[in-house]
Amino acid sequence: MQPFEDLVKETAREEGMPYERFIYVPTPVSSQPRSVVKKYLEGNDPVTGKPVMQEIIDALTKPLTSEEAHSGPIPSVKEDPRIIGPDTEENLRQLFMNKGWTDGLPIILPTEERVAAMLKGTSHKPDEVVGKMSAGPHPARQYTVEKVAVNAVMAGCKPEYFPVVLALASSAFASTSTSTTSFARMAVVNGPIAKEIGMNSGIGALSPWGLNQANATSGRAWTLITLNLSGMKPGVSYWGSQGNNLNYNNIFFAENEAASPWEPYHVQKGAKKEESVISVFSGRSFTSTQAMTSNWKWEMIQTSKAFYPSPGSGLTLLVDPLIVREWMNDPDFNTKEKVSEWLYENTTLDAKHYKAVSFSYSFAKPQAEEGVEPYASWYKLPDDALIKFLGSPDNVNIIVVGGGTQAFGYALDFSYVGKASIDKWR
Amino acid sequence: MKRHVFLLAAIFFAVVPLCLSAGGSTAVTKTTVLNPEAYPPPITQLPMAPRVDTLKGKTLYIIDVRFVFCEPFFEELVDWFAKNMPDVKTVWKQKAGAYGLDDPELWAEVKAKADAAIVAPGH
Repeated sequence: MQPFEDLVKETAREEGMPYERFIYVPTPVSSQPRSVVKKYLEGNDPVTGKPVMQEIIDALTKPLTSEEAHSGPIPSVKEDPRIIGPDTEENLRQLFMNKGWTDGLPIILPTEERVAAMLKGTSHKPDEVVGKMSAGPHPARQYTVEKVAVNAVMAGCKPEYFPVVLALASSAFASTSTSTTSFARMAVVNGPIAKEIGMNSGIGALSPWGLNQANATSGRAWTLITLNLSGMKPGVSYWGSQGNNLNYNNIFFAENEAASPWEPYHVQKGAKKEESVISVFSGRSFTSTQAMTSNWKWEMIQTSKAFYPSPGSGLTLLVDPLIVREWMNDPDFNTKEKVSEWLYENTTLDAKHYKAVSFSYSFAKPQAEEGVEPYASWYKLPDDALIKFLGSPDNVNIIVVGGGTQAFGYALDFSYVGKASIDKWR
Repeated sequence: MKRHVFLLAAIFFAVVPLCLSAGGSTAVTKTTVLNPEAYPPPITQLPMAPRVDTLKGKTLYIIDVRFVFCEPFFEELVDWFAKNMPDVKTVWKQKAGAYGLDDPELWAEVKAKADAAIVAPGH
């Protein structure tokens, strides 16, 4: 299987250790019995073909070479210049594909004229630094307004969408993680800009159908930004084993504030209603849920329980206005807080299975050992005790979206990770 | 004969303009575009730790970064040294916190007490 040689070498180089001595064993190591890993150690390195244990001893005892002992600046790899070409459109498109600068779909070539037009979508100067982003273990890269504009053009954005794209870029959140577990991201727009640029929050807001250009292209721009501005390199530093189809343009929409009786999501997070804000969420998957039949409570709880329990993970409901209308008629569910509390209380898993979950081992157990709550208490529970693994009602997010044609919605294993001002980038 | 000449001339004049026209439409337009990539930060190479001449009689720290359920790997590694290089003192330490988090206290301990160290494993 994959020894991750390229990832190891590239990450070490970028962290200033280009000659660090690495020895590889077959994968997976995780969850393998002693009989299997014994063979790994007694066998050969899958990269070099040499005996693993002899390599380990050599790595620890062979004197450093002059290259290894060196310290100081490393000459940078030659990068492509700011302007590429002139060449034919066909050749340039192929170049972008070959360089790994696209999502595999056709792009709008970022000519100087098109980028200049995109830059008119903001009052900020092209050379202003927007922020830094890293999608994985590699060092974050810094980028300017112009670099973001180039990617926005490629994605097919109109200049009026550009403040939204800049806000995403300024958030420092990549649209995925290089994790082998294939993360996805979601971004929700609140405030006046959603209507100004024609974002869809109603029928088919999450779909490619109809007049969804603002949703589709702004979401896609986030993917291209991650690809080109964070330094993530598929095949080198991206190892999502299956990948995630949501990565094409992410889950990207505006909340249907007009159809919601509740305060908009960004107001819950401290913004004013008249501010335009983008809220960012991280997770992997989503599934349908409903609040129409008499069985809906049981169904919704089963849905939320089915998500992979991970410390710090949340639950996010994207509810149709019809669901909200049903809830408003029920005194137990007529506020977001009541719904969140109910889901938190009922989304449970027994302690035995919670501790056996891989993410619990990696993230909850170390914190439990350091006395961090609630993990310290959870790890003391008997096997049959129920753990409310969402951790807090605050980790249950509810966002209204859809056209009111069906009392269905989506439940996602997505956590809120942060927000960014869109107004700042107008 | 004159008629033939006329026909040839007609064909010639009819064809030549068509060729010229076709040549004009295939004139390749070239364009320039902007590079979409951000440039990486400068890298400074860190000096590697000096090596020991031999592991005999030395203290070797074996550091578990705590990736998911990898204890058997470390048990086997420690056992291998016990069986094959019994004069090496191995110290198996689990890094504090999740695998992606730093543990400055452990690195200080390694500097103070270890002659050599292995950091492992990945997946």
